[in-house]
Amino acid sequence: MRKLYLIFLSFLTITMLTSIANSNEEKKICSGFAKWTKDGEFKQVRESKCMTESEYQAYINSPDYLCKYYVKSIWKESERAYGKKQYQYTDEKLSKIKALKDEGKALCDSGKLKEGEAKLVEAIKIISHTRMN
Amino acid sequence: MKKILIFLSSLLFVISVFTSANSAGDEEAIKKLSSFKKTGIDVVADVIDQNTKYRTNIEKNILPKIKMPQGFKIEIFAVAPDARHMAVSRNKGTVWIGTRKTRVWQATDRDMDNVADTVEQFAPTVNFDIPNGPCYSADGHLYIAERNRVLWFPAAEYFMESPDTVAIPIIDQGDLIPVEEESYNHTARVCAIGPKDNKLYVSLGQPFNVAGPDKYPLYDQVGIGGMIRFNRFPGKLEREVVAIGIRNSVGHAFNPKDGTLWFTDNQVDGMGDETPPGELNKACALGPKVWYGHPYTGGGEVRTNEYKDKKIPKDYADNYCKPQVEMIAHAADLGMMFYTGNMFPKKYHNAIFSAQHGSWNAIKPRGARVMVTYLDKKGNAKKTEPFAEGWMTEMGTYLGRPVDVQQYVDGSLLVSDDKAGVVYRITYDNPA
Repeated sequence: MRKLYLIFLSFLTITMLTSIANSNEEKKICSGFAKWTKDGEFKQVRESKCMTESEYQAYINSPDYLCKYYVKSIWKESERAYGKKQYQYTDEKLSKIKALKDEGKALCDSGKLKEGEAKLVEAIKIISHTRMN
Repeated sequence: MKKILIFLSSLLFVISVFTSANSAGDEEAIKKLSSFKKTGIDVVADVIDQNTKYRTNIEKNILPKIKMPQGFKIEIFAVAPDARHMAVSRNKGTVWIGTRKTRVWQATDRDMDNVADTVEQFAPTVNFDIPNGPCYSADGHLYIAERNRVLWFPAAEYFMESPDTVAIPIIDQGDLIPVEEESYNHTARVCAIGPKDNKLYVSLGQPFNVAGPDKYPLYDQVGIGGMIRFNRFPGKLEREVVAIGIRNSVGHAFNPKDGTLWFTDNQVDGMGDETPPGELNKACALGPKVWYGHPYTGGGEVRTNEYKDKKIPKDYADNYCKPQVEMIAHAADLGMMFYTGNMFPKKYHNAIFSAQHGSWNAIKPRGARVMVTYLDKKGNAKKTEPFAEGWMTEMGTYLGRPVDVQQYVDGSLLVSDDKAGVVYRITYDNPA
């Protein structure tokens, strides 16, 4: 009877621990792109990239987060074909943005984060003040 | 050689005649339509097939994924490509659906089962240019705010079956904003009729992420990056700026209880994944000096990188009206409405429903849902929470993107989706 009780107790403990472990399993944050085709199919266009919530929190709180964010943002808005199309850029503006981005990125890469961010913000200001199409 | 030259000059002549006829075509058509005359334009209106594999797939793949409080149900009201903002008629159950392209759809429930039986092109002899914002008055008039024009469609419910729908400009083409300030982005206009002054209120997004200081004397004067109001019938326009310092509002409505103006505002890009917040605002007053923060703030109290070193001018600071609700960053809060129906439970009466279109640039996907904001006894925002969500898959892809919310004639809630190209209808049936 005692053995049976012990087995039952162990079973309960294992079940509880498994349940706690499962509930703590982190929800993933994914970004992908899919679209509806004309014949009504939902088609994945760009594969999803996933990270856990704690990875995301670590990313946005990392010291070089703003450097990375600004560099990506500048690329999206002034170099990527789709982003570039949205603004009324002149060649002169694009060259200036690119030069500031490169300069800012180099400073960030060498550990001078604040100086790097400041250069990148200068590039973003030019983008922000450029009329959209 | 001579033959080639003659051929080329004839070709140029034909092209120039065609081009000028095309650009003048709309003006001519509007002139005739304004005089209750036929245009003589031979046009076949687009009709959207409502019974396709496409609809079946949306019913199968999207609807079961939408999560709402117990007792609510979602179904398709209409298939309408690029569905944006909506206006609901009072008698016929027609819903006009704007797009950011060149079409306005009219979705009509012909057999009164609360599902649109026909979805057709509205006013096909008018050349619409980003006709995003339809709104409908209690006395039966439809207005459509385009990129740079506002048209009045008197008795639209009755004239709508003809391709030559009576259309009268309230603001002529090119007079809503200076032509040189036109853009494609941030030009999805919306309109609403003020309950106290019976005027038409139109929001005017500004065409930058953050405009430079040189633009502001003009923008504040015209109402770009703000909102304007004017008389909704021909005669004296009496155009006035009623709000400034708004970045890009694409949704506004009046609280039926106290007549206050509320609006959403899309905030600045390029500052971070989690900043600045989106906004739901309540107008502190209506006037050309009432300022909502932009471009000095990028959302909430967060200062923009572009203006953080500049002192906020006294005229702005003294007239600052802060947001009622700070929404999550980059969720793109768009259409909004006050619920006045009887179908939904009491807790939703006079609550604000608003649509979050979703982010285009944040690492962590967000939005793609309908929010609800409850008000307190003083008419201020008390609590905001998700009402309907599930248009985003676990893999971070959008199944659909809600744009606008409007109340249908039976008290159900219509939600437009410009990704799936449909209008959903949310109903409530007491589960008890």
